[in-house]
Amino acid sequence: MFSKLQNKLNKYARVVSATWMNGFAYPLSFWMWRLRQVMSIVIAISLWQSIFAASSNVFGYDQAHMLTYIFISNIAGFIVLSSRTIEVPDVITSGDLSLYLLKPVHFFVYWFSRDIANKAQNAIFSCVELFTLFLIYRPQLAISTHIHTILLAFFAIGGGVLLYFFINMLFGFMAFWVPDVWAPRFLFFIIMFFLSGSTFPLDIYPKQLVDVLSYTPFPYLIFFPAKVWLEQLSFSQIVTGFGALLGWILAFGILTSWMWSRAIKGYGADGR
Amino acid sequence: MNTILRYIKLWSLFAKYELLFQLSTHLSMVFFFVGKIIRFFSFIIILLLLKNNTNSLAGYTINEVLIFFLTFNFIDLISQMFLRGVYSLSGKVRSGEFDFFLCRPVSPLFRSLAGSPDFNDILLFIPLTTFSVWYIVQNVPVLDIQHIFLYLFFLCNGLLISISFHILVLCVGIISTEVDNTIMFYRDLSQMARFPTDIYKEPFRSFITFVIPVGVMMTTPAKALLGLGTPFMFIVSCVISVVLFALALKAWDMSLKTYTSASS
Amino acid sequence: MIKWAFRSIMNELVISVQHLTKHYKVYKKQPGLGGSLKALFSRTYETIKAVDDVSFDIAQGELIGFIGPNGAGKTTTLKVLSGLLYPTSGSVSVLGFNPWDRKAAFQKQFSLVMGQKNQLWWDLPAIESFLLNKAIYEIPEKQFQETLDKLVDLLDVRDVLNVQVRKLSLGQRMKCELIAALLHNPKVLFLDEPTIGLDVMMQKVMRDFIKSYNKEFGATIILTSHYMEDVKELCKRVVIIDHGKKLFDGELQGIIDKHARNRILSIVLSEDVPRKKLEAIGEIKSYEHPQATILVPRKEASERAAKLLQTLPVADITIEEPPIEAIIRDVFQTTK
Repeated sequence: MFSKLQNKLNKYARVVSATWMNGFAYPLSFWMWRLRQVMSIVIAISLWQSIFAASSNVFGYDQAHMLTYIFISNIAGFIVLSSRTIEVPDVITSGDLSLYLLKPVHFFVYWFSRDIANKAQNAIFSCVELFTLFLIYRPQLAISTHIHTILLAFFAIGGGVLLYFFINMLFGFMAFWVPDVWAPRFLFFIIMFFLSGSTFPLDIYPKQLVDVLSYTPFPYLIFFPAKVWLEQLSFSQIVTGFGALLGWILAFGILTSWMWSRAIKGYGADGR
Repeated sequence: MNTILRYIKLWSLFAKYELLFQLSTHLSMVFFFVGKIIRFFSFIIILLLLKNNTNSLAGYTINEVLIFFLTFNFIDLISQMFLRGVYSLSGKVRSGEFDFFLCRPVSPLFRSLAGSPDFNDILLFIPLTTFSVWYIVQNVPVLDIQHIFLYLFFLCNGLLISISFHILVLCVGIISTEVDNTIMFYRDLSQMARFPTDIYKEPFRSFITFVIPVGVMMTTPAKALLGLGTPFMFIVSCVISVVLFALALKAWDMSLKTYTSASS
Repeated sequence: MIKWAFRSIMNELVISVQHLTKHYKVYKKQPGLGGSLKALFSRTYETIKAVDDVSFDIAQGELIGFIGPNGAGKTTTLKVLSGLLYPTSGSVSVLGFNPWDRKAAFQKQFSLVMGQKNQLWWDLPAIESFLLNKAIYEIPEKQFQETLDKLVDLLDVRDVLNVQVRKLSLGQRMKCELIAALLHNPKVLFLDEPTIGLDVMMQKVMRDFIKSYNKEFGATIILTSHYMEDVKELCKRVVIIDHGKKLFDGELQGIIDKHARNRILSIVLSEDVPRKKLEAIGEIKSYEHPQATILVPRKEASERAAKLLQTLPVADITIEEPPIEAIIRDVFQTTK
C-alpha cells in the first residue's frame, strides 16, 4: 500500500523534475523572462516612490506600507500567477491530448505538478531578484514575522495557487468547444491586472467597488493573501476571506471536473 | 514613385486579407477589442483617482501625466496596428514560410514588418484618438501651431524609433527563434514609458533614454507639446532615432546573411 | 458471451471487437458572413459513419495489418481499442478490459504509436522522457534497464540518448519515440502509420524492428498503413477497411485468390509480331518490341500461356500475379 503511494508520488515527482529541467532549456528565453519580472517591480516601485515624493499619504497608505505591499504582493504573485497550465489549450487543439489519455496519469495532477515546478523556479529566482531590488531601493518595509500570520499567509497563497490552477484549467478546457481561447483569456488577464491586486492594492478603488469585487474570485488571488500577511485584516475579515476563497476553489474545481468528463466523452481525438 | 505606389497597393492587399481573416474570427475580435478598451480606460480611471489623492508625480501635474500616457498609447497603438507582423515571424521561420518571403520580388523586411496589420487596433484607434484629442485640447495650457507641429514631428520621430526596434526584434527572430520573449521584453520596456520616465531612478532612466531609447520615443513628444522640452533634448532625440534606424537596417542585412532555413 | 469466453480461453483471444460502430456529428457551416450569423442560431449537421459494424478477433502474438484508403476508419478503430474514443455501439475488449474505462492496469499493458505524434519532450534529452515514462508506468528499475538496453541496441541509438530531442534527425527521433512507447513491455501494440514520412532506409529499419519485436516479446500487434510494403513484409493476416466497413479479413494470399481477376504474362519475343496476334491471347497492357505484357483471366492463365508458346515466337515468358496494390485498389473501387 505504501509502495503504491510512493510509486504514484514518484510519477508526479518526475513530472516536476522534467518541467524544472525544461525551464532551463532556453537560457536566453529564461533570462529574458527573469528580466521582465524584475522590470515590472521596478516600474511599480518607481511609480509609487515618485507619487510619495509629492504627498506622504496616498489612498490611506504611506510610503513604507505601499512599498511593503508591492513587495509582498509580488511574492504572492510570483507563486500564484506562474503557471504552465496555459499550455493546455494547445495540447487539446493539437490533438496531443491523446498522448495523455493513453497513459496511467491523472490529467489534473500532471498539470498541477508542472505548475509546481514552474512556481518553484519562479519563487527561487524571485527571492534573489527581490533581495537585489531591496538593496538598490532600500525601502522601509513593514513585513510581519509573526508565526501565525506567516502560516495564515501560507494557506492563503496556497489557496490562491489552487484557485488560479482551476481558472487556467477552465480556460484550457474551453478549447474543447471554442477554437480560440486566447481572446477570452486576454480579456481575463486584463481584468485580473486591475482587479487582483497585483500592481496596486485594491483599496485605491472606491469602497463600493471593492465590496462588489469581494464577490468575485479576483481579489483572492493576490490581494487577500497580501493583506493577510500585512496583518491589515480583522479576524472576521480573515474568516470570511478564507470562506470565500474555499468557495471559489470548490466552484471552479467542480466546474472544471464536469467540463473534463463532458469533453472526454465527446472527444474526437482528431489531429494526426 | 512607382515603387511607393506599388507598396501601398500591396499593403492594401495585406490589409484586406487580414481583415477577412479577422472577420472570420469575429468573436475573438470582440474580446480583444473589449479587453483593450477596458485596459485603456482603467489606466485613465486610476490616474484620475490618483488626482484626488495627490497633485504631482515626479514634478508633473496629474493632467500632464495623463497626456504622457495618451501619447504613449497613441504611439503604441500605431506600432501595434502596422507592425504586428513581427509577432508571427518566428512561426514563419520555423514553418519555412519566411523562405518564400525571401524569394519573392517584394522586400522581405516590408513583408515581415507590415504584412499583417491589425484591424482590431484600427477600430480602437478612433475612440481612443478622439478621447485623446479632446483631453489634450482641454488640458494643454499653450496650444499653438508651434507646439502642435513639434508634437506631430516628435510623434513621427517616436514612430521611427519604434520601427527600428521592431526591425531589431525581427533580426533576433531570424538569428535565433527566441523572438517571443524578445518582443515581450521590448513591449515591457516600452510599458515603462507609460509614465514620464523621470520617475525612474538612475541607472534605469539613462538606460531607457540612451541605451534602449523608449524614453525618447514616448516622452519627447509629450514634453514638446507641454512646452517642457529643450532644444538640446530635441536634437538628441532626432540623432538617436536616425542612428538607431540606420543601425537597424544594417542589422537586418547582416542577419539575413546568417539566416539558416528551417529543415524538415 | 459464453461462446466468446470459451473461444478466448481456447485461443488466447487478446482483442475482441463485436459490431463496433462509431459515428461523428459534423456541423455543416454555410460560407460567408450570412452563414456565420445563421450558425449562431441554428446548425445543421450530418452524421459520418467512421466505423460501421466492424467485428474481428485477434489472438495473442498475431501481427495484423489494417489497410484502407484515407478516411477508411482504420485510425478510428485503433483509437477505440485504445480507449480514446467512445464507441457509438458495439463492444470492445482488449486483454479482458473495456478500453473506455481507461484503467491503469489496462494502460500499462498496451501502447499506441501514432506516426506523426511526438511524446518526447522536445527540449530535453530522450533519456529524460524515458525516465518519465518509467515513473508513469511504474516500471521496476531492473526491468527498465533490461528493456531499455535491449531496445537501444536493437535500434542502435545509444549515442543519442543524451542529446536534446530537437537536435536529432527525424529517423533518430522516430526510433526514440518507439523506445518511449515500448519501455513498459506492452503486450498489445497499436502502430498507426509507423513508416509515414520516413525515407526508404528508415522504413526498412522500422519493419525489421517490428518483426523482431513481435518475435522476441511475443506482443500482439495491429499495424495500419498505406504502404503495401509494410503489410507484405510483416503481416500474414490482413483486414481491409473502407468507408467504415470491413471488406476482408484473412490471409494476404486470400485477397489475391479472391479478388485478382487476371494474371500477367510478361513475354520477350524473338521476332516481330503483329498486335492482332497478341490480342488473340489476351488484353495487351503494353507492347514495345521485343517486350510485351498481356493480361489473361486467372483461370485460363496456363491455357493461354501454352497457346502463346505454341503459336508465337517467344524467347522468354513469366506468369505473374498483378501487384497487390492494384488488387486492393480494385477492391476499393468495386465497393464504392
